[in-house]
Formats: sequence, structure tokens, C-alpha cells
Amino acid sequence: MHALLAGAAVSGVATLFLDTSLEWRRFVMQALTVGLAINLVNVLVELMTPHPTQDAKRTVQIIVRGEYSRLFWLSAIIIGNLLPLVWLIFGDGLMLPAIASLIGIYCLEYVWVRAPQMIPLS
Amino acid sequence: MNFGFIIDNRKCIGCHACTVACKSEHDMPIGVNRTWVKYIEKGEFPNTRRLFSVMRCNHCADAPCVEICPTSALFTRSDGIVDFDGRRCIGCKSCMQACPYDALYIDPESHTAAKCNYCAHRVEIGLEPACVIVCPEHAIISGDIDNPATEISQLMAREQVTARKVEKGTQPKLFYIDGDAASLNPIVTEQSGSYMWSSQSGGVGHFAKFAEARISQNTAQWVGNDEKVLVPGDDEKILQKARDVIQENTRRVYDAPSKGSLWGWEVAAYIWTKAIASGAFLVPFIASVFGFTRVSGNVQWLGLTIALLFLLFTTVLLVKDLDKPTRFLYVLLRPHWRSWLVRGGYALVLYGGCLTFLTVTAALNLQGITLILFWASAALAVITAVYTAFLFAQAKGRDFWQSPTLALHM
Repeated sequence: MHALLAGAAVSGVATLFLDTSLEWRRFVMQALTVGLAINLVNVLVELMTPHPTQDAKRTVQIIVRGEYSRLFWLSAIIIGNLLPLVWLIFGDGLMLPAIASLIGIYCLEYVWVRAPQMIPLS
Repeated sequence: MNFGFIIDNRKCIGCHACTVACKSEHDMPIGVNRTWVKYIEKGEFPNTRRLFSVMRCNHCADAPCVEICPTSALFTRSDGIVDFDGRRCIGCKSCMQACPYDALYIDPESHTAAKCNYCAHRVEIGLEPACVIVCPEHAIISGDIDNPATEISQLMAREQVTARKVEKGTQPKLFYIDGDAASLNPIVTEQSGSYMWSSQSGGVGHFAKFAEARISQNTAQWVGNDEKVLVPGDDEKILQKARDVIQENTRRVYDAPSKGSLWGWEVAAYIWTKAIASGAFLVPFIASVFGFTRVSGNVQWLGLTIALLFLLFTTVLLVKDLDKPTRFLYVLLRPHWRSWLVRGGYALVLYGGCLTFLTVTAALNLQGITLILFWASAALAVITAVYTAFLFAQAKGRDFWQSPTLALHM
């Protein structure tokens, strides 16, 4: 999902430097909108569905309410997902939501990589 | 032959002789350990008790560190010992994510992964491991667990033994007699900023290079960890659940220093650049193949250029994250095919190659071969995008990464 989202976002940013057709811009906007919506659902389902082990449950706590909660909620979800989604649905323009999406993907990956490593193994 | 260990907790006095003998035998640097003794205390004064647990490599029959190692630097010998060859190690630290027992570390001098190797050099000439010889209580028993005549086999047959995290399916061969659940389950007791007789609780191994500077600044006890330790209360409910199982007031009072979070921003950034490299090609591909919209030549060229550029960034980040970056080609030249790091590495190379040829054939207007490369690039873009999910799934130490939806996430 992130690959398609990132592809749509980077294509959106590229429209600044490249003269593209209105039809292509419309497609990129639609792809970005659908990608953001699916990504949001995917992330929330991932965090809200029951996890089978204590380590995994604790990782979710770290992401949602612990060390990484600010990065997750503010950067990955609000700035990187919700705001661009709302902008694309109700606003005009592709550049800002595309850049915000790219920031959101990076923040989410950062949280996904770092948070599980906070759990002690021994 | 199938070597294993028994730690007899009825006898262990927590003297650390095994730790010291091991460090001496293997001439190990400061801060890292192949075996160490964890202390926990239970109860309230005066009804308290201190328990010792010797921690080390479990020499798993199905070792996840061996599975994930991209260069076969970690391997299982025919006698069941999980050994390593530092000359092949590229310092990718994936073994440290795969091991559920925290047994591996990065040697701060050689910058390669290391762990208990059962003193294989001693075993080969008929000697027992250094920790077994030095233990004053004969609390560490080594030997062939498949031979019914050995002391270890007879102990296993006679006594009730436990092992750590058997649910991981790694088939550990380090067994504890009188193993204490609170000692063996790391989530029950918090890692704290400092322990008895120990002021350094981090900044070891991979992070040793930062330790001196940070200690001199006297800034933090958690040297090498960018994050603070979990504050009790963040996830009090889960901890309480774990404590309820143990039903005793337990605390960790001595342990080896934390090795910190070994995969940092470089890994997150490489997943990000990899996603862009895949998506920049896949989005115009999907648009044109499924007829969503007409894709102009300009857009296709831009997609190709961005994909190639971000593949380059991906490679740079991958190499930068290695503790032995000069050995990055070992992934391709000394591959261990079961490792998704190798499969992913080859996917990146093939994807880059396909895109390059596609650029050339498209420029030369060779339509037949361009069409083949167009589809091959799309397939490789998908593999490039999702292989990290399978790599993370091989990191068995991290439960959160075992999610079946991770491939969809990528």
C-alpha cells in the first residue's frame, strides 16, 4: 500500500516540474485519495485488532499511548494521512497533500521500525 | 551429536564466574557479553528472595538468526552448535532482531555480530566450554542431549526443565532446572536506568562509539538509546497482567546493559525510498495497463527516472546501515538464499537492471523487448515493495512484525 501511495504522492509532486495533462493529474489525485483512505483503514485495523502476544500488545501501547504516540498521531496520522485526505476531498491542489503523504509514510515507517525494538528480549 | 546446556538454578550462586571466564576465553571488549547473569528480586522485606538466571545463546535447533543471516556468517554445525564466522558478517544486525533471546551483540572492535559459540574451539579438542569449567557449583552442564549416557541427558530425563520462549518455535537447547518464570520472561520485570554495581545500562556493542562522549557529557544513563525507557504506567495494564501470572512483587536488580534500538532512521528511510522507487513505476504502469487514463511519454520517463533515482538512494541507505559497509557486496556474492535480505537485495538489483534496460530499449524504440521489460519491471517493483515484510517476519524476536498484514502495509 505504501508503495502505491508513495508512487501517487511522488507523481503528484512531479506535476510541479512536469507539464502533465489534466486527465493524469485527476488520476493521481484519485489514486492518492484512495491510497490514503486504504492506508488509514489498514493502520487502524492493524493497531485495533487483538494481538496474540504480550510483546505485540505492548508495542501497540508504545505506538498509541507511549513513547511514539506524538509522532504517530500528529505526524503519521493527522499531518500525513487525515489532512491530505480531507484536502484532496474538499480542497484544491495536489502538491501539499502529496508532500504531506510522503512525510506521513516516512513517520509511520519510522514508528513501525522503532517501536517494536523498545520491547526487551531478555 | 547435539550439544545443549542445562542451567541448574538450584545450584547457581550468581557469582558471575561464567561471565568473566567467557569474556577472558574470547577476549571480549568492555560492555558486551556472550553470557551474563540476570538478577531479579521477589517479595517485600523481610520476605524477599533474589534469583539468578544465566542468559546466553540457546543454540536453537531451528535458529532464526541462522535463517535471517544474509551471508551464512551464522550457521548450525553438525553437532548442533550455532556458530558464527565474523569474517563473513556484514553487520546488518538482522540476527539481533531475529533472536528472541537477545543473545547476539555487535562487537565494538570488529563491528561484526558475535555470541556464545559453545566454545566450539574447546569442544573440538574434547574440552568443555569455559563457563562450565569455571562454575564453582557445577550449575552449568553441557553435553550431547541425544546421548542417553551423558550427564545432561540424564538430568533432562530426571528433572523438570523449562526453556525460554518455547512458543517461538525455535526449539531452544538451553534448559533451566528450577527455572523461574519471572526471570525468564523479560516483560515481567522492567529494564531500569541502573542496576546494582552497574552504572552503564546502555551504549554498548553497536552504540559503543557514542558511549564515551555521552558519558563524559553526563547526560543520560541510557547511553546509546535515543528513547527513554518505558515509563511504568504507559502500559500498566499489560504489565499488571504479566505480574498477576507471577503473583509476586518482582524487580530486575542486575542485568547486562541494553543494546539499544539497532535499526534506526536508516532502515525507516530505506523502506520509504524503496516504496517511492516501486510506486513511481507502478502507478503509471497500473494507469496504462488497466486503462484508467492515458499516460504520456513524459510521465513514463519521469516515473522511470524517479524509480532509478530512489533505488540508488535505497542502496546507499542499505549500505550506510551496515556496521561493515565495505562488505556490502557479500549479500550478493556470498548469499544465503533463505534470507529475505538476500532475496530483497537481488530484487533491488534486478529491478534496477530491468529499469535501466527499459530506459535504453524505450529510447531505441525496440518495442518487443520493451514490452517484456515493462512487465518484468512491474513484477520486480511489486517484489521490491513487499519483500521487507517477509524480512521483518524472519525477525522472530519482534512479535509486532509477525503480522500477516505487513505485506499489505508495505
